Amino acid sequence: MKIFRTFIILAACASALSACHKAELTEISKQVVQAGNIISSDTLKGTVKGTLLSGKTYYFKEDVTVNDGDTLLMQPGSKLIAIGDGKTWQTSPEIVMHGTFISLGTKENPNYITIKNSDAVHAEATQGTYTNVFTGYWGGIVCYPGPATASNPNPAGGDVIIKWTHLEFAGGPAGPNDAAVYAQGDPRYLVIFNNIKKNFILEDSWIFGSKDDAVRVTGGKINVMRNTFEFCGQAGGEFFNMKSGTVGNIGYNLLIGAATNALKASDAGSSGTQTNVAMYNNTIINCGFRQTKTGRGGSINYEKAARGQIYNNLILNCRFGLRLTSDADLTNIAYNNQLYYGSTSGIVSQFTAADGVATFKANDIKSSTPGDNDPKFYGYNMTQYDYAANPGPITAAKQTPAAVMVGTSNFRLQTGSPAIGKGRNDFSPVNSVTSTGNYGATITQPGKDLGAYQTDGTGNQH
Amino acid sequence: MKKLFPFLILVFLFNVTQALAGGTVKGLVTDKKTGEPLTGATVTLENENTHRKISLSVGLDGSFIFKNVAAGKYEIEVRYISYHKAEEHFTVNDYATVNLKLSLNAKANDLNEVSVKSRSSRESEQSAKTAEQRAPQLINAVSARTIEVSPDITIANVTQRVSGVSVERSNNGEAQYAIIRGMPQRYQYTLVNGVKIPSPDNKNRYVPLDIFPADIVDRLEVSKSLIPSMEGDAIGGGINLVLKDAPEDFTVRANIGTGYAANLFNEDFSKFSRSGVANVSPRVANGNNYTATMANFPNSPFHYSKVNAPLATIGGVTVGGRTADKKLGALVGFSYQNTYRRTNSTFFSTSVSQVTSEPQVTDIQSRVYDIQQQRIGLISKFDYRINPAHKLTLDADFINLNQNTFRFRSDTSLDLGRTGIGTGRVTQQYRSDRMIQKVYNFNLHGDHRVSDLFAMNWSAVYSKATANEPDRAELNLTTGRNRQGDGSVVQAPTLFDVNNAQNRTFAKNTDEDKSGFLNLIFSPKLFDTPVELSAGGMYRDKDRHSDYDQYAIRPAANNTSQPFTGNIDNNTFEVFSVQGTPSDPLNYDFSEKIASGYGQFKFTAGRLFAIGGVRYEHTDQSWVSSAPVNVEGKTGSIKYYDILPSVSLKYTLATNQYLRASYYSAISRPNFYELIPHTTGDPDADYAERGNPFLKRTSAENFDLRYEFFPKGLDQLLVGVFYKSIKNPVEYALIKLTGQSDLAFQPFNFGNANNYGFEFDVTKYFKNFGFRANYTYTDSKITTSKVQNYRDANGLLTNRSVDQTRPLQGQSKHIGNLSFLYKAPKPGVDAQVSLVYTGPRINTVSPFLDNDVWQKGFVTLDVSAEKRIVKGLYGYVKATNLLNTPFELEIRRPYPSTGVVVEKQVVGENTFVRRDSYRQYLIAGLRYKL
Repeated sequence: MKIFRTFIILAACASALSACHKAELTEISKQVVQAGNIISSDTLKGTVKGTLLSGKTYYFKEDVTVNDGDTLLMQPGSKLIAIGDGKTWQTSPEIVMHGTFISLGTKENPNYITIKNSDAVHAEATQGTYTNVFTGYWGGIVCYPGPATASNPNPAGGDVIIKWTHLEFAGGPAGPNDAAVYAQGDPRYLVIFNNIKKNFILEDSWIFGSKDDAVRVTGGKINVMRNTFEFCGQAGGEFFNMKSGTVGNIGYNLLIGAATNALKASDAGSSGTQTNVAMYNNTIINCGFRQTKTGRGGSINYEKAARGQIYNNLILNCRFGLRLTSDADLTNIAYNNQLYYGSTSGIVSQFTAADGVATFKANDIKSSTPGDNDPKFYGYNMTQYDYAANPGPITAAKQTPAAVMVGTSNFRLQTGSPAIGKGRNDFSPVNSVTSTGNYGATITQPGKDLGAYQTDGTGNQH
Repeated sequence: MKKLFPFLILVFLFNVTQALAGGTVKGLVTDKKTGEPLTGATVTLENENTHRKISLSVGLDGSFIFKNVAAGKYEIEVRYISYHKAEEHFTVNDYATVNLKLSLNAKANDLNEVSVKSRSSRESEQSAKTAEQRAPQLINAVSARTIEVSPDITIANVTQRVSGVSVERSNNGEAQYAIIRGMPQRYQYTLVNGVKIPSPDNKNRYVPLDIFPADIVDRLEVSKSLIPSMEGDAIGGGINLVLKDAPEDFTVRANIGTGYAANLFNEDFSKFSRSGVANVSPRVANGNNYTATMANFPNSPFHYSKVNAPLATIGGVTVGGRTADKKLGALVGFSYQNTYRRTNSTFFSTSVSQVTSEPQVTDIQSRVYDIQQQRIGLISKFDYRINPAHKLTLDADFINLNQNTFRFRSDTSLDLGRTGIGTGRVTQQYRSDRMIQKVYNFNLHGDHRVSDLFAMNWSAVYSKATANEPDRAELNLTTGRNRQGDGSVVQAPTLFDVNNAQNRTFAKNTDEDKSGFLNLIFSPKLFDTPVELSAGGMYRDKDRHSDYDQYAIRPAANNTSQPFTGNIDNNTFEVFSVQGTPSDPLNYDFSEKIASGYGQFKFTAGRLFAIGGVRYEHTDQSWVSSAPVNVEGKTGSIKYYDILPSVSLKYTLATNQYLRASYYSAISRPNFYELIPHTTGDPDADYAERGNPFLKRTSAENFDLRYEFFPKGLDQLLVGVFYKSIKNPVEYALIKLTGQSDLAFQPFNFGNANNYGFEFDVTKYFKNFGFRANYTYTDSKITTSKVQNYRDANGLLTNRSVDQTRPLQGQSKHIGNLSFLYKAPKPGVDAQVSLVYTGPRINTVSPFLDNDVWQKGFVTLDVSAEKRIVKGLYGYVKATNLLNTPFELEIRRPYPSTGVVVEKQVVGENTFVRRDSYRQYLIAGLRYKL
């Protein structure tokens, strides 16, 4: 009887018991978005939008943000000066670009995004003193989608269109504000672009003195044409570094004195869009000698599932020639018609990097002995630097100005150059970017001569 | 098993059938109250004419036997620590057997049934079993005595002897966290004397178990179900370390020993200097605007010295007793361990094919860890019996673990610079890491019996846990063996990694808990049944503070290609990130306030024992991190409450046979570290980690059914099944961060999971032999989405999401333990052989389909033995990992024929990921008991 009663009590208790897990009442801080202010003075600060006017110089000494949907436009002949010392993130400001950035320099009126004492640093460098070249005075332009908001739950970032613009001297340690791109303390690049659905157009511009990589694209539609890249990467870093989701063209660029590769394409990052880049008619000189790590390239690299086309490039006195790693999408990489030049046997032996799987193709031209098949530039002595004594890795201080900067050199082809008329021009570049008007890309089709300068005057206009 | 049984019986028979002439005296010694055998009690047989005495100790099953006893009148006396002695007089005749049943009364006068369940020496094994048998919830207990004679020197190692428990090991091969029934550490809590202890470990809420020296506990209890008076955040269960109590009689115990790692045989152990190294980061010491210089980062962590095959020091002393009036009792225990171990490891970095999602290996690494651990445990317990109805207890404990880890890693790229075996980029890293963990715990507890009907108890607890890792110093070097254009292979000079020649990290966190507990117990009679009704509450205010700074150091700008010749003093450096990382979110303050109350009933009606009720827990969390305002989750607050019912029934089927059924609802709160939106933190992680401020707590409904049979003495048979329905379990997944090409590891809630299984535990003792065996089968299922790489119709490489069902991370389908015990009271020998089998389990969840990293199933064999030298003094040896069981990881997918040709990878066999070898560890020492 007693037991029976107990069971009734128990059953009653049990039915009264039902677990309840109340939903969390949460208050998680959102990313703060400040409204953009129209630019009204020559000092930019906080969140801005609007136009930098022709002939004017603007300054910023703290981070400047452009919101998603807003635009910052530089008219021809405008200057943007970063005030910083490269020591801390507070004293090496950056431009945080969630919106659209347009710098419309022209041949006659180029734009400048540089530092106050840029002339002095250039002058020093020309004399062979590189103390300040890699100071990384400012933090570069950091392009990535802004925080999601109620009205824009899936921001995609904006386009970046840079024409006839000098971009120089960035690289100081990252601060905390771009957790999505840089961890605090990371070295920064002149431009990092991370808007996979948007366009990155860099044309006819001059890139100089970045502490690490000059430009890195971690997803985006690109057209990088007719630019001059000089002396970037103190002891590591590429001129143009591409990760998963980068699709487009890199053509007619003059690239001199990168720490590592001039151009590197990789599909690392699993964006779901395969990196696919056509690299053609580029002139690549003296790259790869400052990288201290072995197993890196020194001119053009295709790694980890990247695909594309590689034609008509001059690869001259680079520590390594074309390097295709075995994990690249080899079946979909087409390459031929390169000219490889080496002034030493060490360079000659690495025309197809020994740790890669690239081979010589039928239409390739190369120095079979050191000094053989000189491209015959108008103003450049290919044997002036002693690579036999300095095979790399070397410190920047050991490189001569002529080895890492254009200066008074002239990389146009003389009559009788073996590069003339050897180009393949019957293939199509990757047409990923809109190519109309001021805000579109101007794609120069593959040329018949190798390298960035065509004997008919087309190609690189610098 | 079946074959072993008859053999054991044979050995047993051989041992006992030797009687010749005279009479035989045999018997059983038990606790008067519990009926449990008192193993180790001393039985003295005295001839009343000759006054000749013979003594022996009672066997494992409580029995004793004197053979060839000359006929005559005898007195037998039984003594056992903390018990009143028992005597009996009788006559022995030739060829006759006297059968005696001797029961001893425990000395203690129990004040209060609720709080002082077993006042006698709880360290003995039988009291552990009694605890198991009598506990209202499902528990498994291990006694101090069992621990003493076991091969284990830390609590973490002890837990793996419990059925259904497997362990997760740290780098030195020592167990660190317990996994109960396939539920990893986040689903359980660690209690000391029933009170939660905050963790010095940044990544976990509760203390790593390897911080506790095994000899400080009186008993280890693993609860697999909860009752309303227990805190509700233990889906897997709770581990309670019951520290030693003040004994009734003056007691001194001491032990001293030494240990030796087989891996260090004839090898040099690397030590590093700490001279001039700051205790906190330059930023924390000097403020956020401070810019560090190389003066803040002395070279000393990279100055090494060698010690040949160092020996461990293991020691402990416990002194306890009571005043003459027995009112004030005290027990103070001190334990010290200083051990040296080495781990050799081979590790492959893996990735997956962009085309087929097949595993690929990118690097082969060899790692050597030299680990010195110094543990200090100081525990003290004081109790004051005001009068039989009132008692106060104070626990004050301090535990400290200093760990110095030297690691050298050499990584050969199978990709960069690789042109065949013997070539490739080589990166080397020297790492010197000192970690200091401290736990302080003060618990003032009162028991009061107000009347026959009403009792109460309370606790006021203050605990603090700190972990400080000042200056984890890494030196990163790069070299390589490169194939030249002419085919020759040239060794490149050893240079510094230009971006991170050195990395210096400072991490420090402090947890402070202030808690109060109050329990009221009312014991009326309802429906003629004595019922115990209790109600109570708990409030805990926890504050956690964390500091984190990382500094990148580069070779001096004027000489970026300087070689490293082995002496860092010849090199020049400059600090790149001079400010540290002041706005890293890992600089945070977290506060958690938990308020809870419960109502609980307990009664026995006929054959049914029931306990149940409901618990309410309110959680109020908030945090502020130093992340900038544009980081989501810089600050946050989370509030919720849970109503957690539970009921446990025990039905007596027959004498010593019970059927238990229990249901309880429980939760698991995310770790603080996981909620903070951090992006850095774990130096050993293969991927960057990331916090998730939107994590929800996990909740689970748990059901258990267990049959228990206690045939006699310590023998037992437990068979049970369990089922857990888990909502919002937290698992890690790899995600792609916007703006970064690398993947990051982030915790998420993953829908629902189910976990069910079967447990079996058997213990059988003969006079000199015993064995324990347990086996647990667990099956859990969770479905998460994975990435599959493939080439689309246009020939482009892309990927898609595919759902995959798998077991929970860390859950082994099969876990088994088997121990043999041997006890010979006369020579005073105790010996134990323990085998543990842990089945395969997922170590790391891959973001890619069919690429999870599994730990291979493994068997470990440990032995220990103890021998009495003179009265009170014993010698002991412990040997662990006799089979040299490695820690092995693999991806359960055939290594593709297109993969790099490299040692250890065999085409068509599972892809090899990691192998750590710890080898054997030996300990020998002396133990003294008074």
